[in-house]
Amino acid sequence: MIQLGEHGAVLLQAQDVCKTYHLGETSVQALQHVDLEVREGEFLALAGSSGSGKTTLLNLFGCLDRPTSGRILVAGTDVAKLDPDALAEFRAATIGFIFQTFNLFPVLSARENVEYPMLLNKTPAPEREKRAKEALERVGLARFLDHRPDQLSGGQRQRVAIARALVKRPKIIFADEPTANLDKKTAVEVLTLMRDLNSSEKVTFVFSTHDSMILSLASRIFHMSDGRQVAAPETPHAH
Amino acid sequence: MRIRIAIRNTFRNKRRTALNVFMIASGVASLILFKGFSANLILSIREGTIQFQYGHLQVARESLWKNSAENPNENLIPDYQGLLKRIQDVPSVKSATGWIGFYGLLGAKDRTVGAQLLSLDPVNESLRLSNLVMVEGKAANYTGGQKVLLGAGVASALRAKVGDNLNLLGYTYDGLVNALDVEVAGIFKSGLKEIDNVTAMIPLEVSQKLLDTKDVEKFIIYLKSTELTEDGRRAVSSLLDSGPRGLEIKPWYELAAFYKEVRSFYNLYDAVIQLIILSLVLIGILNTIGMSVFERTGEMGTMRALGETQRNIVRQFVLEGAVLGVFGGVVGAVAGAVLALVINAIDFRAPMPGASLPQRIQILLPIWNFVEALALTLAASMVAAVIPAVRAVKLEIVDALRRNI
Repeated sequence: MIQLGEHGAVLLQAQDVCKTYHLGETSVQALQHVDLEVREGEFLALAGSSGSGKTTLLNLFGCLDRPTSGRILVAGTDVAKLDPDALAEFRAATIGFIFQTFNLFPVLSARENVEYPMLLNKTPAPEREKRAKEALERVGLARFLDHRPDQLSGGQRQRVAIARALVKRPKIIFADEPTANLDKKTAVEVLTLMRDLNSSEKVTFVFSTHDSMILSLASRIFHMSDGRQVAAPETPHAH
Repeated sequence: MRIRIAIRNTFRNKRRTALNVFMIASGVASLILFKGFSANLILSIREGTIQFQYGHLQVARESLWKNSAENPNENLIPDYQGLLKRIQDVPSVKSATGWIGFYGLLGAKDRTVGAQLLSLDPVNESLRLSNLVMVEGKAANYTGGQKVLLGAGVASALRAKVGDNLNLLGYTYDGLVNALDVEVAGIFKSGLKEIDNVTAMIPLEVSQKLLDTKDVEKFIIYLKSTELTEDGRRAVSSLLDSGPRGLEIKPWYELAAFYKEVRSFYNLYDAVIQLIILSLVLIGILNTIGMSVFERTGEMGTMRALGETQRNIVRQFVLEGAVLGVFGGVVGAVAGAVLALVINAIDFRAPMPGASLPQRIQILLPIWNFVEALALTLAASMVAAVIPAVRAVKLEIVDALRRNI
C-alpha cells in the first residue's frame, strides 16, 4: 500500500508533535508524540475514529494551529517561526483547504468563490476570472459558474471547494473529512476527482476520513487512535 | 470585488439590514432636520439682530466706540451729509441713515419720566420700525412732524395715550436745556420689557432740533444682504478718509454681543444633540451588526484558513459597515429633505430670541448639513462594524472554523 517510490521530496514533517487542549480544569491530549513525513505527490489518508487526532494533525500541518511541543515543517519552513501575518501569507501561497462543511461563501457565485483565494494573492481580475473558470471546468462544473452555493447540491459544492483549493496551485491541499456530508456515491466521485487531480496536477493531498471505502482510494494510510499513530486495524482494506 | 462582496453581505439578511437602514436613516434624517432647524434659528437671530438692532455696519468716531469723549460734542460727526450720500451710493448698501441717542425727560401733565431717546428713521429703517409691536397706534402714523413712539413701560408710567402731546426736555450739546412738544404716534413692545420701560423712538430731525445740532453720532448702514458685510465694510471704509477725521467702522458681528452668545450656546447645544442622535444610532446598529458578525465567525475562520490576514478581515467588515452607512445615509438624506420641505410648506410660526415677532419655522437645507450628517453616520456605522469584528477576528482559527455548520 505504501508507494513511496513514486513520490518526491519531503513536503511535510511532524517531529515528536504533541498538542494539548485545555478545557477549563481538564486538559485533553489530542496528539501524543506523533512523527509523520509526507512526500510531494502523495495522496495520504489520516484514518481513525472521531477524537483520534486526525483533525488536530491536519490543523497543525495547515498552519491553523500551533503544537504544544514538537516541530511542524511545511515545505521546509518551520511554521512556529512565522508571525500571524506571515502565516496567513504562507497559507495563501502554499496551502489549499477542503472542509467537511464545504465552507463556501454563500453570497458569492461558484466562480467568485473560486476567485477569492486569488484575490488574496492580488491576482489581476481578468486572470482571476479565467483561472476560476478553468478550475471549475476541471472539476466538471462548467455549467454552474454563476450558481450560488444554495443552488448547488452537496457534491457540487464540494467540487467548488476543490476548485477553490486548487486554483491558486498550492503545493498541498488538506481535506478534513471531505466526504462526511456526502452520500456514498458522491463521496466516491469527489474522492476520485481529488485522486485524478493528485496525479494530473501533481498536487499533494492529505485528507482525513473514517470511511473505509474512501480509505481504499488513498496511496498511503496513516492510522490514528487516541492521538497516536497505530498499526492498521486487523481487517485489511481492499485496494 | 471586495466592494461587491461587502454589498452582497450587507443585504444578506434583508430584515436585519432593513432595521439597520431604518435606524441609520432616522439618524441622518433627524440630524438634517435638527441642524437645518437650528441653522435657521441662528440665521433668524442673526438677521433679527442686524435688521432690528444694529444694521450691518455702523460708523462713528473713535471716541464714541471707546466711550472716551470728555465732551459729548466730540462724538458728533460734523458735515456728515456728503459722506452719508457717498455711502448711500455704494452698490452693496441698501440704506444708510444718521443716528443720535440721548437721555431726556418726557412730561405729561403732572408726570415726568426719564427715557433714552433713540433715532428711528421711519423710511430707511422701516424693518426696524415694523419689528416694534404696536400695542396702540400704527407705525404708519410715525411720519412727518414731531412724533414719538413710546415703549409700553414709558407710556404706562406717563399714563400717555396715542395722540397725547408730551413735553420733551433735554440738554443740547452745548449744555443748555431745551424743550419740544412731541405727539405720541404709537406705543410699542420690543419684546424685552427692560427696553420698553426706558426707551422712546423719535425721528432724527426731531433729535437734532432738540439738541440744537446738525450733526449725528453714528451712521447705521443696511446692506443688500448680510453676505455682503465684508464687501460693504471695505467699500465704506475706503470712503471714510474723505469724511471727517477719526471715523471708525464696526460690522454687526463686533457689535452684537447677544448674538455671539446665542450662537456659541447653540453650537454647544447642536453638538450635544448630535452626540445623542449619533449614540442612539450607534447603540441601535451595534447590536444588529454585532449579531451579523457573530453569525459569520465561521466564515471568518474560512477566510483566515484561505490566507486572509486578520486586518483585512476587519477591513472587509468595516467596508460592509460603510456600505450600510452609505445606503442608510442616502435613504435618510432623501427622507430628511422631503420632511424638511413638508415642514417648510406649512406656515408655522414661533417666538424666537432676538426677534419679538414670532418667526416662521423653516428647515434650512444647506449641502454642508447633508455632508456632515452623512459623514457622521457613516463613521458611526463603521465604528459599529469594527468593534464586533475586531473581537470576533481574535478567535483562534480552529475555534472559528468549528462554527461552520
